[in-house]
Amino acid sequence: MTTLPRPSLSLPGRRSAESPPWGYRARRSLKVMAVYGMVAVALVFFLFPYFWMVVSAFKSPGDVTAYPPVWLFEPTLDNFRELIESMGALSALRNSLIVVGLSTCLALIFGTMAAYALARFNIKGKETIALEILMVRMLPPIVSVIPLFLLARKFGLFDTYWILIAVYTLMGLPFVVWVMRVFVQEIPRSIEEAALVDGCTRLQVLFRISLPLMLPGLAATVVIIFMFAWNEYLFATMLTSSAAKTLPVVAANTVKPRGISWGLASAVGLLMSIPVVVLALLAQRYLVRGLTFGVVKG
Amino acid sequence: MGVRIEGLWKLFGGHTAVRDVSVEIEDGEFFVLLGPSGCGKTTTLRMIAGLENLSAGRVFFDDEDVTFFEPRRRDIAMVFQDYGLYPHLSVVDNIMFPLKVAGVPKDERRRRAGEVAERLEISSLLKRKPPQISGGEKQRVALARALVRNPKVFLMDEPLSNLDAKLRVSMRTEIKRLVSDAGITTIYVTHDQIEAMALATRIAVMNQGEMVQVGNPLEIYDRPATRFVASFIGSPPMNMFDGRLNSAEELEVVPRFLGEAVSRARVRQFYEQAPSIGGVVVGVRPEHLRLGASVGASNAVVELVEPLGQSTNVYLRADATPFVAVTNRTTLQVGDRVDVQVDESNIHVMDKETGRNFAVSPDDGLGA
Repeated sequence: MTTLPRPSLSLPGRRSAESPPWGYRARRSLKVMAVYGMVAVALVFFLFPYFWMVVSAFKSPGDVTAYPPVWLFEPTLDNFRELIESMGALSALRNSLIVVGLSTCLALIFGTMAAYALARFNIKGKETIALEILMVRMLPPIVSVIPLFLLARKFGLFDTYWILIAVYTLMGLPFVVWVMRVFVQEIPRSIEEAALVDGCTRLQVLFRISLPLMLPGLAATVVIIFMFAWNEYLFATMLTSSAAKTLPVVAANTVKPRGISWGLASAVGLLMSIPVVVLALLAQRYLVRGLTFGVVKG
Repeated sequence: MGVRIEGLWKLFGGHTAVRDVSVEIEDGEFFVLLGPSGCGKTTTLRMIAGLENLSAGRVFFDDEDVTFFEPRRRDIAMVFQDYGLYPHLSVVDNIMFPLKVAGVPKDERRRRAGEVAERLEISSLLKRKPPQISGGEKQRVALARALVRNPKVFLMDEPLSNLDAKLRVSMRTEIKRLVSDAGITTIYVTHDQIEAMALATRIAVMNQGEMVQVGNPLEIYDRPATRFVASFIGSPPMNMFDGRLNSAEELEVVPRFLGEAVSRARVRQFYEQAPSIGGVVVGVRPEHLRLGASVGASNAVVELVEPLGQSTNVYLRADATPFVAVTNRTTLQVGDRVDVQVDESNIHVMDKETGRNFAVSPDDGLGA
């Protein structure tokens, strides 16, 4: 860009160079390599347990407990066969997907609408309402599980999808409300007012303007509440017996009276992790914040 | 379309933001609400837009009462201070958005957006998104989005205040051209008196929630109804001095040449309007002071000279009181003695308590 001659520095021991000093580039790439190195170490540290679980899922009972650990072995599908044939893992997987999928959707829909109202409208005592919603989350689950069990029996909801969907929706709601409220607040009011003036109803403003701007928040929230519900064990084990049994209950059953069946535990762990990994990868591109960044400035 | 507001009030908790504002804006008028920040001008505009609920009062578009209409039913277009562009939509989608909501067919939408973009010289930006364009370009896109629908009323809330000084002046001219071409009634909010003077067919000056004076720019400049209007409009601002109407025929003020410039008849006229009032404020605009060559006992000394090119600000002191005069180019030097002259018609005498300007009859411009 600059074609002007640079003022030559005639300080002793310093050459007036047209290009950056020698070695600058090399130092820079060294720095980049160091960063990559550290990232690699961190990845190995965090991913090794997962890797070990995946490997163990395909080991025979002898190989799993072998010491020193065997790295080369003959892979087997026995663990999965047993999970599916005698432990009902497939139907549990289906139950989990239905229950958690539906409750995540419901929590997201109701939670986002509540968050929008709490952030945008003048509601009397809305801070109190927001705190009350949060309190649902603060209640230790063990406190409510017995009453819920009794209620479920009374209304014939025991061992059905509906009781778990209700509980998981309720668990996810406070989180959605509190996270999404912040995202709504971050949207400049003038954007929504412009849409109102341009001919939108409030609901159109929400769906056409605000929701697209909240996508990063929605993506993050979906992953988190899905994971909470997906891993939930206490309610799942207390409120179901067989028909609506979910995967965490099956996973717990791999702890046998004679000890933990590591091969089975690894296999069910692998099975359980797949939907979460898939969801996180799908949501990943929205997780990059900053869609609303730089709206006002300029 | 004409806009009429009647007895508009807005209370925020215990604070009165807008107090009994009424005005009638004619079809095709460029009407500017002018005032310092917090004077209620933006709130007034937002109530006309329907974005703010009224505490009391009525809003009419022509003869239709739109007081309780939602914004979308008022057929208005608004330009916001921070532009209010939709960041997730491209520039062309932003411009087409009002048409899309209104259900205009796609081809028609594209054609009209293209036309407006052409007129505002933003055709090259259509595919980009708002975060990728500059402030001036955002401003143009916001204007295009407002123009594309041919609204009945244009509302603009300090649309130029986020631009740098140079761009602000060029956009100002452009807005005036675009709006007068379209012939659409426009209500424009600003705190910048020069912007107001340059754009308006009529200005309403607001202060502390009240509409203090309504009139065309020169009316407001020449015949400010109150001390507030007199001091708010004009740059450098009007010189103000404390004075007294101490008998029926004498205006006592420092510097003395001002009092001497007012005839006895005129003093009596002021006095009759408010016989009980002793304290007044005497005002004179800097450009109404004529600096003449020193003749004998000159009445002022030059303290500072600011040559601005097209005019010169001369800071003077007379009878130990400082004031400023604006002249053409001058050879005056600091320390020179000059003779200051002023016509009595250019001297404003205002009530110190209420701020009312006695030189302007009370009905002037108010409640137009």
